[in-house]
Amino acid sequence: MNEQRDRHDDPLEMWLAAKRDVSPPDTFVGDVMSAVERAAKSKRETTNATPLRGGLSAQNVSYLVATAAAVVCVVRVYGVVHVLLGPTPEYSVASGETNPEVPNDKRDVSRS
Amino acid sequence: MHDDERIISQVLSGDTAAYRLLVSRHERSVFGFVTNLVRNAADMDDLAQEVFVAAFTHLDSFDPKRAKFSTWLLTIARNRCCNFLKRRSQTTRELGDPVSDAVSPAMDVVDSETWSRLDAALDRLSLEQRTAFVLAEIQDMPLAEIAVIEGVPLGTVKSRLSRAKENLRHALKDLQPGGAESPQPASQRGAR
Repeated sequence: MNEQRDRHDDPLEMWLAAKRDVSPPDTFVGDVMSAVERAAKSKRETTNATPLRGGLSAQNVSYLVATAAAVVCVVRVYGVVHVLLGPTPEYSVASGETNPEVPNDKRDVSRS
Repeated sequence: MHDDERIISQVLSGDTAAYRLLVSRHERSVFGFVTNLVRNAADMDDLAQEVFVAAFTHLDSFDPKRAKFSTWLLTIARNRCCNFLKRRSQTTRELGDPVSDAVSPAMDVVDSETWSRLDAALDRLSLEQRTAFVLAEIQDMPLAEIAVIEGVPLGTVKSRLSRAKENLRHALKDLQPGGAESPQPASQRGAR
């Protein structure tokens, strides 16, 4: 059994030795460093965003937009609450109050 | 090892060029690991590159108290390769284009059929067995470090390795004298 195993292990060892003998291409480090430089550049650009006119950075623009949207929401909610809970508007008819009826013969139908 | 940490602090302080030293130092182990795990000439270069770029991008999260840099790097490589292999197995059941091993003098002695069978047997191993086998037997990595990379106890690594070796030996036993192939045993087909 052991003899058989040793016989089989020999090609296995040679195969493993060949597997260990793998080398990256000569350009590998250069290629990696190019990719790393690109990643570093994009990282720098993200963290140090170019300031716009008036000292407004591009990153702040999103905060400003979000703040403006929040203000609009608050104003709208306030309007709805005001309508629901506020005093009855003057143009509505109060309960029990009726318009005076005018007989048909007294209605003014002249064109003048 | 302390050199790695010194270079890492240099890189973190803004000296990107210093990262070249780390790449040069570990390129062989990462490339060898990716190559032997993925075995697809079209993808292994890109994957090995991605490992180094990912390590650079997340270098600030490396903790030397938890693991060596080489261990951390191979953990990234292992995760990337496993994700890649899972994606590939989902899209196609084919093994892809296997790496055409360079012709070496050993090929004169050992039948290329034997190596093909071993390559195929390696591909048939489960991902866990394959990574453990490549790290231990090809990368010559200590089992304790493999346990860190795999995120499993040492005993699990040992059993995976043992099963992987057994499967590979089985592939050799299947070879009949004269190069004729015998049918694959069901247990081996189910090893994946």
